[in-house]
Formats: sequence, C-alpha cells, structure tokens
Amino acid sequence: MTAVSIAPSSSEVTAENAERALDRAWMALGDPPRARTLNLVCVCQSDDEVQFAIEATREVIPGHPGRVIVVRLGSPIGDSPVIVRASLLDDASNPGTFVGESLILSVTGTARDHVATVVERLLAPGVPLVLWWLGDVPDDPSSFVRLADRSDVLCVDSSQIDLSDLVTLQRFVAQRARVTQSISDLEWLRLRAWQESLARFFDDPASLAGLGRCDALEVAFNTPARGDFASAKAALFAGWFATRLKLRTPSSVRWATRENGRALWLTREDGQPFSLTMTHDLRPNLHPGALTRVTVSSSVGDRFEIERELDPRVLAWRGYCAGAIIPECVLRIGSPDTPRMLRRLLDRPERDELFLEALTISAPWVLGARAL
Amino acid sequence: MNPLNPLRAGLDDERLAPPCAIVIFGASGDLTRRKLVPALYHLQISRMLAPGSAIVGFARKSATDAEFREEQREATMQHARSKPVDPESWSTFESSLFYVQGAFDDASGFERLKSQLERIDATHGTRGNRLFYLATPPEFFGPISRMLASAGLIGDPTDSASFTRVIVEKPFGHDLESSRVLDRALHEVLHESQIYRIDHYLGKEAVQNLLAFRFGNAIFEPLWRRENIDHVQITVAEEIGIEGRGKFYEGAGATRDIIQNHLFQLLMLVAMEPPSAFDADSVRDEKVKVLRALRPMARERISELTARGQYGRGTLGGAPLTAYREEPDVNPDSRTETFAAMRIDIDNWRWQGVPFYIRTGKRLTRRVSEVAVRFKAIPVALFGRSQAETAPNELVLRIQPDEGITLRVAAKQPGSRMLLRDVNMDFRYGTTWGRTSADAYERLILDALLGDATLFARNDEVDESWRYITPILEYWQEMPAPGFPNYSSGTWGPAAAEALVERDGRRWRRP
Repeated sequence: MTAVSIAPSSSEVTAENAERALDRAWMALGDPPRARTLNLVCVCQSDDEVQFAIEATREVIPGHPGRVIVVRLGSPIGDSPVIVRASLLDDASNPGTFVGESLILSVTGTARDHVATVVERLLAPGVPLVLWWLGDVPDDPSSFVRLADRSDVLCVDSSQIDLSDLVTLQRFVAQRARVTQSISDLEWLRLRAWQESLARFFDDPASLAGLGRCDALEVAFNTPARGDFASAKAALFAGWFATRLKLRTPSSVRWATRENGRALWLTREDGQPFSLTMTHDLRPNLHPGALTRVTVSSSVGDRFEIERELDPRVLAWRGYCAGAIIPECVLRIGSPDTPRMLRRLLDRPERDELFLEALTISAPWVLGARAL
Repeated sequence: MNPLNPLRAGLDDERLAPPCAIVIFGASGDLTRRKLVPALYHLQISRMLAPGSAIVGFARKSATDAEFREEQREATMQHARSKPVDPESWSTFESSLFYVQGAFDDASGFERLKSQLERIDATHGTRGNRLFYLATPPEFFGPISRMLASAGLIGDPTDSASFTRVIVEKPFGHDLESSRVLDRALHEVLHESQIYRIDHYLGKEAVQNLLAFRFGNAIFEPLWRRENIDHVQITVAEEIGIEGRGKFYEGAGATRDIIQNHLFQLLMLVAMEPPSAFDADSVRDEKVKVLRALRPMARERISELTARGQYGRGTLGGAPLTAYREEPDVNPDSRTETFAAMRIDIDNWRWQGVPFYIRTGKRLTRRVSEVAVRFKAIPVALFGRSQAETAPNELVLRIQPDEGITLRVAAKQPGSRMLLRDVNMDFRYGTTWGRTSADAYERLILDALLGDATLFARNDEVDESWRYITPILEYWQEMPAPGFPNYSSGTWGPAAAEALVERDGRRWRRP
C-alpha cells in the first residue's frame, strides 16, 4: 500500500486546515465514495515508532477503511505550531482505490498538554476511535487518560512499555474504563502461545491432579535493560496464571531477593503458600523482557516446564508428574507481526477479560517492588 | 481439551485436538502423500495437534520409519499449502511419524501395529486414543475393520477415557446394495458414532459458509422458499479429464464420483430446514430429511429428467485434447458417463415446484463449483422496457475457484432516464479475509480428532442418496446412451443437458 500525497505544495497544513485539505484531495480524485469505518489514532514517542506505526497501519487499513492519525509526541520544551501532513491512502493490491486518509502530526512543547484536544478535532465524525498507544505512557498520564477515555478500542503493547506503566494502565481500567470499551494488549496476544502450551499439560487428568499439588511458579525472562524485577510480559504471564489458579496476593507485597531475581509468597485457594519467582536470564538474541522459561512445580516432585530454546521460535515442552505420561517434545511457535495482530484486534475488538484480570493482580506486585 | 483445566478458561477460542495416534491405512498411496500428511503437518505447525500426537503409516510396501519419513517429506515439500516447508518444523513433525508394514488381511501386521500403538501410548501419552484413516479402496473397509477388532484395537464407544474413530474415504459403495454391505461390515465392529465418512467438499470454507449464509443472516431465510425462488442450479464442473484414473473411472462415472456425494451434499445444505442446534445429529437429521423428500424418478421419465455425456476430442485454450475412450485403461467402446445432469424435485412445503438442476462433468469449459439460486421475476415491470432487459435476481454461492457470494440486482443507471441494468454485489473470501483457508482435510481430520461429526456423512444420508441414484444408474446400464462421445472436450457438455433445462423454459448458467 502506498500513501498518495495531495500535492507537494499543500501536503503540510495546520491542524485547523487538515479536514479541508483532505476534502480537496478527495475532490481532486473526482470525489469517490469515502469508506470510513474507524479513526485509528497512533500515539508515538519517537521517529522509529512513527515509521513503525505508519507501516503497520497501512497494512491493516484496506480491511478497515478509515482515517489514520499518527501523533508524534515531541520534546516538551519549545513551542511550535502543530503541522499536519495530510494524504490519502490507496490499496496496494488494488491501486487507484482509495481506502483511507492519513494525518501525521508532531506535537511539541506546551501543545503536548493539549494533544488530546488536537486529536479530537481531527477525528472523522461518526465512527469509532481506536487508540493504539505505542511505547511508554508519559510521566504525566493526563493525555493518555483523556484519549483512552474517548476511545472505543484501546490498544497498548506491553512489550514496549515500562513495568510501571502497568500500574497506570491498571488505574485507568479500574477508575475510568467503560464496560463497553475494548481493551487489548498486542503483547498479550503474543503470550497466547505460552499460555496454550502451559495449559496443554493439564488437559491430561493425571497432570491436572498434579497441578493441584503445585506450589511454585517460576517465570524466567530476558533481563530488561533497566533491571526491573520483572518485565511487563513476565508480570502479566504470572498474573494470568495466578488468576486462573485463584492465587491471592498478600495485602502487603514483599518481594524477597533471590540469586537471579525476586520471589513473592502468594496464597493458594486452600490457604497453602505458593511461591512466585521472577528470574533474570540473559539471552542476547531476544527482546528485552521476553519469556525464556516457565516452570510450575510442587515440593513432591511434579514439574511442568516450557523453555525457549536457542532458536527463539522453539519451545521445549517437558515435565514429570506421577501417573501421567508427558512426552518430551518441542513446539514451534509463530511470531505474529504487529500488523497481523492489529488486524486481528480490529477484526474482533474485545474487552479481554483475561488480560484485565492479569493486569489487576500484577499491578500491586509492581508497586510492592517499588517499595524495595 | 479438558473442561476442568483452569488454565483453559478464556483460551477456548482455539480448537485443539487431544493426544492421539493417527493410523493411515494405504500410507503408500497418493491421497496420503498429497493430502493427509501435508494436512497433518499443517495441523502440527498450527499447534492444533496435541504434543505427543503420533502418525503411523500402514501399508503392504516394505519400508522403515526413516524411508517413510523421507517419502512423506518429499511429498509434503511438493504439496504443502504453505511453502516452503520449514526444515526445522518438518524435523519436529517427522519425529512423530512411524511406519508399520502389513497386508490388510494379515493378522501379523495388525499385531505389529498393536505393539507400535502400545509403545506410542507409553512414550507419547496418547492414552489409547486412536484415529484410523482408511485411505484405501472400499473393498478393504470390511477386512481392515475386522482385523482391527481381532487385534483388540477398537475400543468401546461408551468409554469416556479414550476413543477409537475410523475415517472412511469415498466412494462408499457403488450402488445401494454394495453400500449397505459395506455399512454392515463396518457396523459389525464399530458403532455409528465411531464412523466418520469423509466428503472433502464439506471441509471447504465456502461449503460451510452455505450454512453460515443461510442460518446466520435474517434477511435471506424468509426468501428461501418456493414463493420466491424459481429454480436452483448446482454445478461442479472440471476442466481436467480423468488424469490417469481410467481404471477407477470406468467403474465409477460422473454420477458415482461426484453426484452421489459432493453434489448431493451441496443440495442438502441448500435445501435443508434450519437445524435446532449446530451439532452433528441436528444438522444431519435435517440433511437426511431433504433426501427423503426427493421425488423418486419414475423409470419412464429418467431419460427426460436426466442427461449424460462422454467427452470426445476437443480443444481448450488452443490445446488439443484426447477423447475419453483414448485415455489409458479405458475401454475403447466405453459407455461410462463423464458428464451427468438431472432435474431433481423435492416434495416438501418449502420446495414444492422448485426444480433443482444439477450437473457435473469432466473436460468442461472451465473449473467451477457453484450454487446459483434464481429468484422469481418481478410481477410487474414498473420501469418499462429497460427493466424487461434485466434478469431476475440471482444469488451465486461460489465454492471454487474464487470462493465468494454474488447477488445480482437491478439498479438505475446514472442519468436523467429511468434505465435499469443488472449489477453485482460481490463478496470474495480472498479479498475480505486476506488469508488462505485451511485445506479441507485439515479441517475434517481435526473435527474427527475432536469427535465432531457434523461435517461427515451419516449412514442414513449415504443410504438415501444411493436409494435415489441407484435406479437411475440401473436404467442407464440397461439403456446405454447412444452416440457416445456426445460432447467435445472444452465445451459445456452435451446438447441433451441443454434440452433438459430448455424443456422447462430455462437455461444453464455459463459461469
């Protein structure tokens, strides 16, 4: 798919004139029917993210025609007017068929404080707003909260955010999110292969009985650059597991230091203690924070383990459980790219309750770790 | 999947097969190489097969596991849906491929198979779950199932701890009597719930979409009846000839090869009443009611209500094509039909008076499978002559190629005058979903592993379809068609087929 500029001389306009510029572009094409099913707003913190958002959205927009607004949050210092690059988008597989509108803008200085207002003025009327927040949430989350508040579908990518952003996100969900609002995490969709693989152990009745005896979960992850106790992905995975087993977090979260990580005591449904350990691993060929191993075990010898092999697409799947036959085997997992996941999200927007529950239980763990 | 598994909650949108040993009889055959192993490979890399699932090939030919794996690797490289085949994914997959040599009537081979399956249970955790795929000619269905039973390899159908299921390939008999003989042979050792009669047409997305289209939309169902529909045409046309299958085709013909199974399946899906639930028995109950409502063809009307043909020489795209009788393994005086068409009437409230015209043939102008529903003409042409030039509304459900749905409607041409023209509203699978569909065999094997028989034929369906078709075949046998070959390769079939619909004042579509 290619973006088609309106005209070199008029491709950059002020925010106030963006709508008129798009109209002129459509008229120049003979005013064909304009299919608009959504506003897709991508908020980025760097030029790389802007480029990534542009490429990803151009792959999904033929299936979901509409207006793409890419916002680059620039330096908070200085003041310059908001300039919008406006263009129409045509479908690469059907050149000449225009399927969308693109507005790319950079917001710096004090205008950052009003980014939500700027974006709201640029939205196409009468169609849902999908907000894709790339990267970290700013220290002052007010812009995020206002745009998220306004969105019908909120999409984040926890592989790109700070661990502490989980807390911001959880607060938004708890305090502001509407029950009809779809909230998803692209990284959460990538976790699905790990969740499926772990769940598969316990389809076997004997292994399911073994799960009832388990009292420990260890999640190993590729150490993130800043050395947090966990990656957002590891925390969410552990959160998912804890909610499925109805593990309870103590009112006062105290992480204990271990040789390669941290450990926390949770409580099983039957009142027995359950240990959650986050272990640092060093795997230079993986993204920071990527899972490397998950082990569920019991003190009587049951052990269910998935470990990423040297080839990051391969998981070793092995275990021991009395009465169960667990063949040691390898599972190949796909690595769905962002456009594909974004497309899936737009095809089936959903309020992902598993994700929200995992977020709810893991946010206090993050706060507890801060207290250390 | 185990519903008690707490980690499954919320992850249930994927269909995952339980661990199972899948045994393919006829493992050295074409179907195994071209379809079955590539389908299983795709299921494995899509993580729809449980870890520890194993595939055992069984055939007369002597081979080791390594030789079998190599043979299947080469075939999968050639026939896999997504290429290239990743060598590492293949290496993971092939470690669960095994081979057992044996004849279908030799007890010692089945003892070796039993030992192999017990080893797999012990090492792979397949828990006694077995799926036997009989990719063999039908004459082996009885002997294989008896041997399986003698070797103690068929489990109790009421056992909830493990399952035994058997997939049988078409053709399921060559007439009513032979199909009943086969059915009795299978039922000697198997319960009906363990038998999965595969018709790969039902695994196609576009065929399943017939159900979604009819019963997932409120706007069409009220129109789907005799008050609004003039007639229905179902076409399964092939460009290719018999492709070296002369021996098989001489004993079959177009009616047995396509009409009795694929075409009747389409007919049932188009004509059935809404099922009370989307489960195997509810859907199949409604399908079989359609067959029971088919008006039997009176012997004296068979020649009027049917047409048959055999292709002669011709050209397609400028290339010369040989006649059927010139194909290898074909009798130079063969009377086997390579084309068949018929008018079918359904005697029920919904379809009384609505003819269903069905046709199939080889070496036709183009490859196409479709269902075309022609609606009745409007009662008054309000817009004068230009409206009279528009055709009645038509809904076309394309099965292949270019799967999709087209609705033809009349629309006003832009301009100051009220001129109407036909326009098409199009839905295309490829464009809308932008991804390739799973192969029909992938879907159906997965269904069988999950115990979902909705898309498999039940014995009463097979019985009813043969009950309808057999008198026609017998009549044709007694009254050989004169003038074979009667259509040129690369055309839309014999003149008799045109006459069949023209007698009713209608015409075949030219898809």
